[in-house]
Amino acid sequence: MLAFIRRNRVLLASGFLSLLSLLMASVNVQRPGRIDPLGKGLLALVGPLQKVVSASLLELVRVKERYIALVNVEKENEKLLAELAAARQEIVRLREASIANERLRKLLAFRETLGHEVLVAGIVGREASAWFRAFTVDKGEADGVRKGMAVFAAEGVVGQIAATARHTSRVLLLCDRNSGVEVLVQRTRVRGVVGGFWGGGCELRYVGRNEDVRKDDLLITSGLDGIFPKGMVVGRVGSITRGKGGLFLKATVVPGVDFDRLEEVLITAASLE
Amino acid sequence: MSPLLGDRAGKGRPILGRTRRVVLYAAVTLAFLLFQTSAVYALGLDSFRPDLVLVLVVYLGLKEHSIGGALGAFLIGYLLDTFSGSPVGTNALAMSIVFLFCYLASRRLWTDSVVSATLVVFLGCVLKSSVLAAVLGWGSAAGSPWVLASPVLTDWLWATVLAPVLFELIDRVRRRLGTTE
Repeated sequence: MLAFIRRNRVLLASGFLSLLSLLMASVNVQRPGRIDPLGKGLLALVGPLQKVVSASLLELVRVKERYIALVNVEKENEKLLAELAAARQEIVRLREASIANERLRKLLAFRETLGHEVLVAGIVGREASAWFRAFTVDKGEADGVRKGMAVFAAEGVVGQIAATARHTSRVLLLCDRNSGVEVLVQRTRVRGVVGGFWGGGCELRYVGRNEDVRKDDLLITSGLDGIFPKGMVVGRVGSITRGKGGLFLKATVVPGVDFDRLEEVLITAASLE
Repeated sequence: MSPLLGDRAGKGRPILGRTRRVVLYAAVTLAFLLFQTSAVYALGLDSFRPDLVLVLVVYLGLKEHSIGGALGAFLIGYLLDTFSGSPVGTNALAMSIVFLFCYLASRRLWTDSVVSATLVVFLGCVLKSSVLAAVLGWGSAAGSPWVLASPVLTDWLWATVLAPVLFELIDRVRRRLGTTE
């Protein structure tokens, strides 16, 4: 008998436990929780672990979702940055167009005040060295440009055509040391010549030491040099030095035109005609 | 090797080897239970719900031919009852019967191959579901038995597919701990 039990102990134990389970199940199906000797303890033991696992995994999922959200935000951010860059570029382009429009409008108005045939030329190149003050425009002999023609901007005299090619011309600026424009001090009608000096500035030459010239006096073209029509703005008198010796005063001139910001100019042969 | 710890095969100290096995099975049971009851839902893998605990019971039935194995299967079922909505004893009964079936199968059939072990796991799934259906009353589940058919079949499938991997995993851990017979 003992040998039989020993031989079939697993079978017997398993059968016994099955019967025990069946008893528990049948009782508990009728009245839930009636036979549950270990349930409370097991729940107390494993419950907190379940809580920890759930909380940890939920946090893991949240971190993953946050990471994915961050990745999406990053992608969206990149897209928005690209759009912003494009929009900024567009704004710059529109602003540029607006500025060009304003500039051309001024030039047009100025051209109408001249009452002569004028050409609008764009500046395509600037002086490469500090020795000279000149730039290249996109109109040449083919467009009717000739050497010696006057070059203006809406703000005043720019210079004159120094050399021409078929489709381009070289403009010698007012502030080049080889330039010379005969001017009048508008307030007192005193005559002089405005030309450039080394370094790119302008000066008023050949004005008597005792002549009535003051700082900020407006200088206009006299029209006597045969190049520039009379009455064009050249600039304003800057600082004045009246030495004890010498015949002439020394005065700097602030040109009416900012040469560094010019983009288009007007060319006219009115005076030559 | 210390005589207290026994050799790698666990033969030096059978009691220590048995204790290690108990601890190992307890840990595996806990891990599988936590996976089934918490991890799957926390990770949003509701359709992936393999009955890992059943796989462990089948493993016990095939490899642990002792009273401890039978008791383990019962306790695993009991633990499941504690964490499921079933009346206490239902899963304990199902797991005990599955253990008994696997034990008898392993005594009469060659169940060491992957295919036969997988087949036994599948039959264990069928048996467990049948016992549960018998105890709980299959027809009472939401009016139609087919309401449960799809998820139950999915659970069977996952358990059957994962069984060889889990068997190999438990075997490896047992070898590492020196608890193989």
